Amino acid sequence: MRKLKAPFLKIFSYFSFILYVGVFIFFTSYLFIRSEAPFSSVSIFGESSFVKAVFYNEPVFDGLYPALCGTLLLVVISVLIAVPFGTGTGLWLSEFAKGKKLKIMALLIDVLSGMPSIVIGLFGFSFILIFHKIFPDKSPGFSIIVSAFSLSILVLPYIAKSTQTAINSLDKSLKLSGLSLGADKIENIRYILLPNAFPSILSGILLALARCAEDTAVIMLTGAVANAGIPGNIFERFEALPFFIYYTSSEYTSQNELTMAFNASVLLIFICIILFIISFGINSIASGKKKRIK
Amino acid sequence: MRFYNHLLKVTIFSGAALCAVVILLVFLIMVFLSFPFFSHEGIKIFSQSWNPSSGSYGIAPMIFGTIITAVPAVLIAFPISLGYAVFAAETGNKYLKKTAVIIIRAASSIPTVVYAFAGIFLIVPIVRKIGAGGSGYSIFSASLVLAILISPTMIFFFYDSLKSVGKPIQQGAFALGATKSEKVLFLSFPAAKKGIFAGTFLGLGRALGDTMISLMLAGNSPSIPDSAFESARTLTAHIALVMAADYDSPEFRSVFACGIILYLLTAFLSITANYLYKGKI
Amino acid sequence: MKIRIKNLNFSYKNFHVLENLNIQIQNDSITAISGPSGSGKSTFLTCLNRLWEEYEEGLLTGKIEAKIEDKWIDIYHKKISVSLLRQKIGMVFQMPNPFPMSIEQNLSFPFKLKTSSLTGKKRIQTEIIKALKKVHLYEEIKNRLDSPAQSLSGGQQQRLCIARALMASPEIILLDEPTSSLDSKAEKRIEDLLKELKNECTIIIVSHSESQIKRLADHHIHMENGRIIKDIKY
Repeated sequence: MRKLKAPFLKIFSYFSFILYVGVFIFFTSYLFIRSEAPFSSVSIFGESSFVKAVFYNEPVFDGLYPALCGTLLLVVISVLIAVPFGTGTGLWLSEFAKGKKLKIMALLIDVLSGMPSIVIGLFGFSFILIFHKIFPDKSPGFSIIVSAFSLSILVLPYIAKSTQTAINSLDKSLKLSGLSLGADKIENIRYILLPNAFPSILSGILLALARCAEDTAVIMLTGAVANAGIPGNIFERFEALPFFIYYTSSEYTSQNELTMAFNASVLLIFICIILFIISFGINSIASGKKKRIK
Repeated sequence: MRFYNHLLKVTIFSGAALCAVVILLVFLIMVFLSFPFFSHEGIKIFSQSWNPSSGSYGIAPMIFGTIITAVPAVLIAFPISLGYAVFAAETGNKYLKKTAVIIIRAASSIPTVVYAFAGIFLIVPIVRKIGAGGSGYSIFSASLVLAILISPTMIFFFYDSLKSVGKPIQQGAFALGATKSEKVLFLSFPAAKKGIFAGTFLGLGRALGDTMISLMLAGNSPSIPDSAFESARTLTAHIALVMAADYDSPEFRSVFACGIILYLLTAFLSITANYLYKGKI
Repeated sequence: MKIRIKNLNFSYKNFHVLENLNIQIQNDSITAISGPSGSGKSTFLTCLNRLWEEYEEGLLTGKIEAKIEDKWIDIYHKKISVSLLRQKIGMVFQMPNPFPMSIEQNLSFPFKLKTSSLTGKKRIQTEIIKALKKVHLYEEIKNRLDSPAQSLSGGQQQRLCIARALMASPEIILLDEPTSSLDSKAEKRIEDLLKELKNECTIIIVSHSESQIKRLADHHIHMENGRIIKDIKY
């Protein structure tokens, strides 16, 4: 019996590969086929024209433009919040933390990274509630800023970990070079470590960006709605692509709406894959450079 | 110039401090807001009936729903992910190996809502046909799509662990006459045990914590189902669905109770996975 | 005679590593190979058990024949099972490489392979004890056979690796600088062990140490730049 195991393994591994790839292609190509890709102006802008919608702020009712804008805006704000905190934490972990403090913080970050996104959304929502109780007039309510803030909590572990890894995998002699010339820790970080670890940190940020773009659960509870147009300021509600897909799937009234949801799916996949490719490209260039130096 | 250095310093230390504060705050707020629910309902929340209009707020069906969708998903994903990882790390053809890694990277960037959406049209109709008279929105559908969702994560972990088996001991195995498959089976698997466990735990954590797939595919009926082809509701979907209700009702506060349970479950899994993988807490 | 090598040439990555080697090795002897780093000694060993095939795209020309089970075979013949070959021609590496498992599991590893002809728990246990006794390790560790192999000292690990290689009853054993990471006491133990083993196996050992070669070798080959400079039989 035991003698049969080994050849079986190879067959099984091929089988798993083919099965998974098959299913993957099945799912993605179905979405492509039922969407209108490549997209025409109508899919994105509905009945308004590109110029009117973008430059004159004419409302778009039948297109993905508001959701697309909402997603892009959301992602940008989230990253603006998350990057300083995330990289700061990552730098602290790799350069300043020792012993117990390091272990505890690393543990906390691990717990955070495993947390379901809906729980983070819930936290964002409770933040709104509590704020409302304390400052009934000034409460932000359902808004893009709360969603962005919650999303930044969601991706904080990604950025912190990838920054920590990026700094830790720098050459030891490089890490010490600034210090040996008389720089203090902060100067060393600023002039030597950050520039050299930058590509890896950047690719981690890009992955976090993708995570912000695709998340539904968090924004569902903190600010995303079905019809809000483009938010005028950060305290307004907004639309987003993943949320659009969700509510269309349960409440669509026409084939056209359904097709728009497929369009949104493809658009979202497209955005995420582009971010992933850029991130991968940066990593490859960075490790390529390292190899040449060595 | 000095200013920027100072800014950097502030960012680093406040960033770390704020990070710790936020993580603890999440937990504390959950406890604080769910407390009225727990104290009001007491042990009754673990009852099996969820019927707000008649005053019963049992969330046991949701706990069951979460487990019954997540565990089968991991059971399905595990062998396939392991097989795929073996293919990509060892047994695959030279060019396919590289392709395998790229595909899995691409797959991990696909949002869960997109998987769920595709699942509505691809999986639900099939399940409707084979499941005795159900609508197709069931545990079975959700588990299948969850398995697809968590596979890339698990594959990555397994692949990484297999690749980090030391070259000297691999040579030792070959020198003793092992074939590639034998080496993988009798050396790589035992040597990569930790990573395989950790990856599985992580996959389970992801499956437990996912919202969209169970929300869109599992049917959401708040009772314990009798078969795999019936509808169920998970803790995550429950939170999403109930958010539309009145703010101060016990119904609404049940949501925070769910949040705490999820938090604790996933925290436990994360800590265990971390401990297994790195050998320390 | 045990091994006949004719016009062996080996190159990989466009680098000609071994040039025109012609060697004859007698059975039940210890052949020592010396030479500066990069002279091709280790590569030569991996040509004998075809281990290079697992890691490199190389080109090998010439003929290597060995007398296994009383028959002369061409090691690189298409019909040869490489797994079986490697059980008949065992190898021990420079740095001890026990598997991250218990001592017992390390030693029973060869029996899990499909080309192994041994089965049955009792039989395997007997063989394990036999091998451990041969390397004089039995008395030292007989009470902790299920403790991790990596908890042993360097010298013990190396003897364990030799015992592991012996489990498949090889006719030839290749050793690549087996004592270079060990202290002189451990080194002496292994050298004594090899002198005993030579009565049942043909031993080929790569060594950096002139004194070791003087102590052990019946046959000394010195290589430089992939060529044989000296070939002396004592």
